[in-house]
Amino acid sequence: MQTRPVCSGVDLRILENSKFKTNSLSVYFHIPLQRETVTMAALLPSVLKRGSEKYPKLRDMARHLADMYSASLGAGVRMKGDGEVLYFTIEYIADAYIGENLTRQAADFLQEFIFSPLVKDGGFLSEYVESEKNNLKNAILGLINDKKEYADVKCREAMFGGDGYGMFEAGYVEDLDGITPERLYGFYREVLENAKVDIFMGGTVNAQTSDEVFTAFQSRLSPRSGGYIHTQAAVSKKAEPQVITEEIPAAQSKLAMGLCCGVPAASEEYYALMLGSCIFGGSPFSKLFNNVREKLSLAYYAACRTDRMKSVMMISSGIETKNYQAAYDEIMVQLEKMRKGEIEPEEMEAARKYLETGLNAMQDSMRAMEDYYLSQAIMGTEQSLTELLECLKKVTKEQISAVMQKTALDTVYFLKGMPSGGKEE
Amino acid sequence: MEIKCQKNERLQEEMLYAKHDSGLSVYVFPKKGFSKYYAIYGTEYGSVDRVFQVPGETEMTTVPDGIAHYLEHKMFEEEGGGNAFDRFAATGASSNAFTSFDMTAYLFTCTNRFYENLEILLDFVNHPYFTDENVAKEQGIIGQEIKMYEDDPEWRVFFNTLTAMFHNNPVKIDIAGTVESISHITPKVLYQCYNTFYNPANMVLVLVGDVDMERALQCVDKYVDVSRNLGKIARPQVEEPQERVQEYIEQKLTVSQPMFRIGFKDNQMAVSGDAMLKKEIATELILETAFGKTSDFYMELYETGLIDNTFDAETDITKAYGFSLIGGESKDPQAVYEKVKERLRSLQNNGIPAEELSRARKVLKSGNIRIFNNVESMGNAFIRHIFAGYQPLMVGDMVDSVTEEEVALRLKEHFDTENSVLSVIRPA
Repeated sequence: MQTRPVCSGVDLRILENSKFKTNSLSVYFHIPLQRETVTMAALLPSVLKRGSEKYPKLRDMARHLADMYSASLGAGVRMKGDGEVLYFTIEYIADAYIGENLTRQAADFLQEFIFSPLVKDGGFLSEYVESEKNNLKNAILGLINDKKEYADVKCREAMFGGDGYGMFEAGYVEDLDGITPERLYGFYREVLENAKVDIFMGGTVNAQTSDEVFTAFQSRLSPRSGGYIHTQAAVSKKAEPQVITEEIPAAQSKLAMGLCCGVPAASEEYYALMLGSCIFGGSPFSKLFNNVREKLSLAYYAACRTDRMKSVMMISSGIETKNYQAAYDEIMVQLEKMRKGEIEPEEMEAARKYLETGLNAMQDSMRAMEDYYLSQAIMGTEQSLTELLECLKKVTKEQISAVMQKTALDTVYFLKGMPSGGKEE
Repeated sequence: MEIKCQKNERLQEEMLYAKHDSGLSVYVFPKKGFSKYYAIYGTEYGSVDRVFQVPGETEMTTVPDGIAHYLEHKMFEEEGGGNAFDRFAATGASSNAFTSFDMTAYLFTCTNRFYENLEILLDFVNHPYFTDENVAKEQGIIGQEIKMYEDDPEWRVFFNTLTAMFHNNPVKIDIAGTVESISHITPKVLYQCYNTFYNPANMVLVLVGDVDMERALQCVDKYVDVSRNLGKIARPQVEEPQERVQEYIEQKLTVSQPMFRIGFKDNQMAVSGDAMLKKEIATELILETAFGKTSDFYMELYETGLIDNTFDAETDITKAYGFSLIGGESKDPQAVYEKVKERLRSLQNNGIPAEELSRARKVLKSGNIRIFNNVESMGNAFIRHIFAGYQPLMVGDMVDSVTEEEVALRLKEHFDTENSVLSVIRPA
């Protein structure tokens, strides 16, 4: 990756690779995750998607994109530890396949989208804001449509509450009323002027197209003081894990268990946690898969994933309501094995190879590489995939056992399925 | 064995093809510069194949619902108690499998030791091992999979649409079956299905990445038994009336706001190859122009708050069934349903403007180019194309060959607003 500083607080990062059929251009604004702004940040992308000065209606925007050989536009928010990014991205077909270089047009469009929203009397158009508030309300409430995701989010909220990682990035229904078109626009102006920015170009990039993008953004983004949002590794402060049960009409119950690992993202210990998480529940040969699912037939899925920045491990499983205790006990038995270092050499080897395959495979996805380097930038570690792989190779069983002993079960969220679900009519 | 090669200059892509002596079709899509390899090994056998003729027998055999999917789970089981996941774990490959209405496929991705992984794939799919014990064990796991889907409103609204559309077509039966139906599955019937449908002539192997066809064929030689070639399997054509079963179907689940699908059944079955592809393209062009984001329809309904960004349209057309669906979330599904029918009738009467049709062609072709960005999306799309009798590299070029008249005819015949259905999930 090549990095070109555009001005203070703004970097252009180039991930050149001509093997892809498409090119991408993305802009990320780094903002803290806090209750005062999380709902506004979630609302912004959908308001901007409604129209800009040059393309004031949904249809105008969609037609312009379709005419650029069906370029795709993305805008949204993504959590990054205790912070989040507000992102805007456009992906378009590379010139080798259509005989026309669309980079200039794509950059123009993305700039129009970001910098020329429809504004009236010092605020966004109120009809757009009101209608998108309603859509966002539905999206927030729609979390319950996916019960697994719901249990995981509720577990995270119960673990951290307040600000940062405990936030639900889609926002809060009760905060929507207070958002006026003026307040939302004011917040957006502040983000545009002060937030740390990363711009990524991916795909076929040459000196001319990268200069064009560089100059284009230099003229629109002024130097700023905003930096990356620092994330504190999670440490459980509870003497005993809290257990929360919520009843819901459903055929299956969901069990979410959140652990605080206390491992700083940029520390050496992280590599042991990454391998440990893979062996414990992050692969189809994991202890959770082989025991909770294969041996005891308690679940179709039983897995864990670990957030590097916040150092939180989330275990998720879908089970029969009556099997709650059996599943919980088995998960804890397997966790204890990890802590005691009861790990076979084959498991170590399999996990190393599995992670190696996953990391090498990321090079085939522009989006994955972009996200990898974005996270690296936030953590302040510009580590290449090769360097990361080298670190993984050196991890020992003892180091895994030690790091797993640091993990503490903080919260159990049991979404208890109750009969009387739906009936067909 | 002759190896054939096809190139597409516009896409700068090529395809190699060989028919193995066993009857197995092997395809290689070379992808230089990519780190990943992807192999997908599929049989033209899915949940719709519940009645069939075992080669050598005269009677038709009927098997329990959900058996193709059950069989997929059990194929990973190996003699001696291990499973195929563990063997892939030793090489670092990531493996998986899926069962759809008309296909079962086993796959892996890896970044090295490709031929070794290919041998594991060929080995385990060619060596079934079913015992009373290991078959019984799966009841609990699949039981939980079925329950997970019972709570999934997207899945339910989809299947309810099929139930309202189809009288007899087995596409309306849940792919995993029911807890009751899978309780009748035994090793004997699993072997019967395996021997019938996992015969090489009914299967395809698609390899994507920097793969050498000659070496791949040597691996096939080692594991695919030439004597197991039973040819194509006879399946009775299901008698399906033209008419829908019922216009409206509703279920209550824990959701935040109503979810809906509007369905149109395809009443002209039993085609394949170019004729089917043209039908698929014509349908996609109609859905894009009528309901896509560039349409006035989308904008107007969005602005009045009847639809949001979950609104979408799709079509699924195969040799065994076909349908188109339009749906999303809405506070008033009935109102959207009326608008959709109105929109279709207006297009049927006035025609689709040429400019909009040409824009939709661009959207489709762009989507086709994007498939080649990712080895997995290539493998998954192409194995479907191959079973359908399409030429994978030519699908994008076919978009322009579908004429305005063909689109108009499809619009009139498929989108019959007197035969449409509405499926709704309401908050409990």
